[in-house]
Amino acid sequence: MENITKDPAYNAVDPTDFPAMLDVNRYGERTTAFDKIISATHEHFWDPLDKKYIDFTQKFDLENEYLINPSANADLKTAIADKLDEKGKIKLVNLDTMWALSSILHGEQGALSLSASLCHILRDPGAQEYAANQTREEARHVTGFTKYIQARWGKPAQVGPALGNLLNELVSSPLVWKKIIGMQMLVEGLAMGAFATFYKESRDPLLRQLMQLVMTDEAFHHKFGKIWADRTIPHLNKKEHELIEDWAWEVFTVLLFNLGSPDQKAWMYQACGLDPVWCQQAFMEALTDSAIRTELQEATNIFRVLIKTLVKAGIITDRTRGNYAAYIDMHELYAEGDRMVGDDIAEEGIKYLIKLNGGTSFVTPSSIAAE
Amino acid sequence: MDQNITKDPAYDAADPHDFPSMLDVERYGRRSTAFDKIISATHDHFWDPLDKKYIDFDKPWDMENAYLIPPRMSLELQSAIGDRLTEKQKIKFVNTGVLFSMSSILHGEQGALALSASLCHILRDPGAQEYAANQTREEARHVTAFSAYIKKRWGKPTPVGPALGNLLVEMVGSPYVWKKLVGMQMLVEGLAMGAFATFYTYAEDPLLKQLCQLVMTDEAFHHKFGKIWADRTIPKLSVEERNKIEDWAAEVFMGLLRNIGSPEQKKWLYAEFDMDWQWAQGAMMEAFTDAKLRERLRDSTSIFRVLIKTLLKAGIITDRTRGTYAAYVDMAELHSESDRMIGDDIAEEGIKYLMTLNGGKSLMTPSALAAE
Repeated sequence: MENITKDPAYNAVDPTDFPAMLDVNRYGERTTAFDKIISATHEHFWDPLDKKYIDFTQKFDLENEYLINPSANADLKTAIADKLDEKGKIKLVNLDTMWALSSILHGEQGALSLSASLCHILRDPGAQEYAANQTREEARHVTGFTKYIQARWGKPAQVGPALGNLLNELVSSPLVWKKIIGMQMLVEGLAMGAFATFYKESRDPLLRQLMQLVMTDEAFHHKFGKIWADRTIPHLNKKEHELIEDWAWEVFTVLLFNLGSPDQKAWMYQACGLDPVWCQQAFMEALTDSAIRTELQEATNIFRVLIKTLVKAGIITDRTRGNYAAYIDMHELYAEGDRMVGDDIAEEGIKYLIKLNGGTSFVTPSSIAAE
Repeated sequence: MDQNITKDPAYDAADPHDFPSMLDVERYGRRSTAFDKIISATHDHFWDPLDKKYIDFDKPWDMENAYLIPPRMSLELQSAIGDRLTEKQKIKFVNTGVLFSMSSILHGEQGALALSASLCHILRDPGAQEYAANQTREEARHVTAFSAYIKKRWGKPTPVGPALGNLLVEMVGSPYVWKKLVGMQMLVEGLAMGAFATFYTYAEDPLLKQLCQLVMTDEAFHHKFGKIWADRTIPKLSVEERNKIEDWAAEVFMGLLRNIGSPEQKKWLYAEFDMDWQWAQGAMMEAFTDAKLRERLRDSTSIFRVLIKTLLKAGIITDRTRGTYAAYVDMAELHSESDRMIGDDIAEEGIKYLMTLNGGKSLMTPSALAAE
């Protein structure tokens, strides 16, 4: 399979071909497309090790308080809720949050490794410098989520097989398009949706703060994926477009399965004294497609952001539109502007950081146009 | 023998292709605090080669009529090579020699970028991994900056010399932490710190001086990372392990010393001046006896002196290889010196300047940071 390069900014070499990076002509062949995103990094800097930005010693009563509003939990909309008392419900909701945050942590680790792997294959020095910057930002996210999980539960949950396999595929792939669509658009798109949901639904101020800080970086990462799509998708031939479109659908189903399917988190039900097989049945019974569809139509639903990313990037065509339409009102999405649900939260966070860091200019992802 | 020679859990390593081991739930919480201060300091010494607030690559220089560095710094001009050149040719020769040095540095920075990124794939400790991610980003801005300087003064860099190129390929491709850290953080970064200090001290071009100082503000921290590894590793090595590291370091040192300035590595330069590189080599050998070379290395800014001092202070040089280095530098004198390096003052002055420019409040210089 090939790299499907349509813009020189995404030219790639074999990951083991370091000598190609020493080519004297390469250094000067730099796109300016990412310069503004790279330069903006200083003003939206934050440090999970510095209490000036975030203090992980803030307490929360996990036994008696919901970390997120119970109305945002899918399990409690099923017969599973009938089997639990109030304390049991709190435990389930909080463990489900732990599961989601653990998935995010593993995703951030994947993004760190993937960004570092982009440094080995992207030939363009501007794209490479961007990837190096993202590597560093993903590393602080790993630190941030590790510290939150440590403060609340001690350690994360094991990665679900579906997500684990997907991350491994993305990190080890030598193909730029697979890395960028898989990580920058799908996983980051999902993450932006998840962060926006947690920011809106969380009852833990520390979790809300962490979400907003991470979103200040992720919005720029998402922008990198958008620049790739703008410069690539319109130039694809039919075969290439179908390859990318089909793969995106495949990844979408894996992500949907990982986050939504009870069999990926059997340990959680067992910890609440529930039979995972029975829970799976209760879940299937309750969440008919139309119910899921109603859920997804909520503006902050995490999968809605991801689908919108694919729609706006031009990856979804009539070939696969019907697949996604089972979960979301595609007509409504097509009619919407480019702004995402998390954009406002991220921009508010960036403004806060600029002030905290003593910055003077205001560069947000949406104000940056690729040059 | 453990091929990675790990003596401290902060440097535990995984196979570079074993991403699943990074998802181990126990790993995330096993974080060394040794690098936390270096990581946090990165914001205060931030600089951006794309922002004229920090450095303006549009500053001109008369390449035809003005030396970038004083002609006395050129070894070649002190040999019979100089006798065959007019004043204008000497200026061109010296400036083209600087191009070769800058190009070698640029290729070295590219190697450091790729190597730091490769460390992200193998270092298991999340703190060490976050440090490596930070260094990757800093090396990327160095590549940008040296590319911009070279583009402004000459258009494009020269090809990497075979000796440096082979060494960089070996280190980037190696799966071993010790080889990456001794090779890049101590030897190449040590050599680079010496080179930057030399250019900063002697360059006539203010833009080159400024560039070297800005890069040094980062490199001083990278050097610190190598020093932390050495402090936690070298005293715990078995004789076999120590010998392996010591011999490899001596081999790399000799390779760099013999080759980096050798006419064979820059045949194209002599060809530009209608000179045979082998004749040039002979002229250099005639002019520079070991005693004369040693005399130059005594200069505290000699690039190799900084490198040797780094190895010596790290405990990598023992009596087994001391003689190798003693041919070029006064080892007793080096032994008696403190840990401070010639570039430390230049870097710290640069860091203070950046902190003022960035509106920072604390003063985190490499020498003020102790590993926890």
